[in-house]
Amino acid sequence: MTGTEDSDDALMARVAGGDADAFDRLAARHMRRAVALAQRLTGNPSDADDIAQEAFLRVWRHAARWDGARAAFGTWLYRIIVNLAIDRGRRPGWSPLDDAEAIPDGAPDALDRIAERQTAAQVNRALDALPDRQRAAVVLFHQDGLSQRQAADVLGLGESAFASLLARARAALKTALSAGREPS
Amino acid sequence: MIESQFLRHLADFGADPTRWPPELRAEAERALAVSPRLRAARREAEAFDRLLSGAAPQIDEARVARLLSRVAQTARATPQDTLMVLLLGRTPRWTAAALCVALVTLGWLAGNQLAAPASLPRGQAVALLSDDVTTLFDGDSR
Repeated sequence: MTGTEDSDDALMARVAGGDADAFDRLAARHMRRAVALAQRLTGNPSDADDIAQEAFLRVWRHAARWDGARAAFGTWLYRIIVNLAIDRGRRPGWSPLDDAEAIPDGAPDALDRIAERQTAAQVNRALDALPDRQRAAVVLFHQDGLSQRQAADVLGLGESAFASLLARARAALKTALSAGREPS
Repeated sequence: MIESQFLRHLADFGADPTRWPPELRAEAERALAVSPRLRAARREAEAFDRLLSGAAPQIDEARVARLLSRVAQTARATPQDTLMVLLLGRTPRWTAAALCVALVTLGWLAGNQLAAPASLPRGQAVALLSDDVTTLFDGDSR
């Protein structure tokens, strides 16, 4: 999208000059993904809303610091969100198993849905137990679909360091999930 | 790429070789094409990746609109960082101005104090400096 007057770069240049309308357009373009990422990182919609708002206010306040030659706007925004989520010190909550009780009795797929929720809860607990940056690596790469290069940029790492972080996270998750499936 | 290498990369990066580091992709595809065992391992890895990817959070339009409205309102009431703000932080304007005046005055006074005495002829000042340099490097003044 770079190169047009509606590109992120062009809008950011206007935001840096104090153009609030350009800021509105940029926020409208990226807000949904920003909230989704924050929610995946914190596991909590309320925290996600706070983080997304604070991230965009930082974009507004520090627009003059952004350098399009060093990072794409999306990468910069994601970096702010990841840092805010880590700073907040929260972990993703897991879908409470109580939710499964809300499924109407007799629903033909009720048991499957309960099993799915339990599996999701187990995965969330395993993610919850990871160190912050390992969890961020899994969220960015597996859940948000960023490439290794993009995710490495967001976390301020080289590509090989990111690959190593992701490998450690996956190994830890595999161990945790395998242990969780063993009969007690 | 031998099987053990492929399996290690599969564990590290997941089931989709197109998302592996670029230098590994072509060899990974070749290894997959010839090995039924690797294809089976890949199917298992796909199931694990599906677990990790989870369901996308539901973000409805009303929530996004509410956030956009709040952010737009707050941004309009929030000053942006300018070069002066970056240099001086969020110091109040009058304090920053007073600080600037004080720094300029201090610089002017310091400049006056350090200037060579006006009464000394120019040639003499140069000679004194030359003596000091000789002392420094020879350890003995002329």
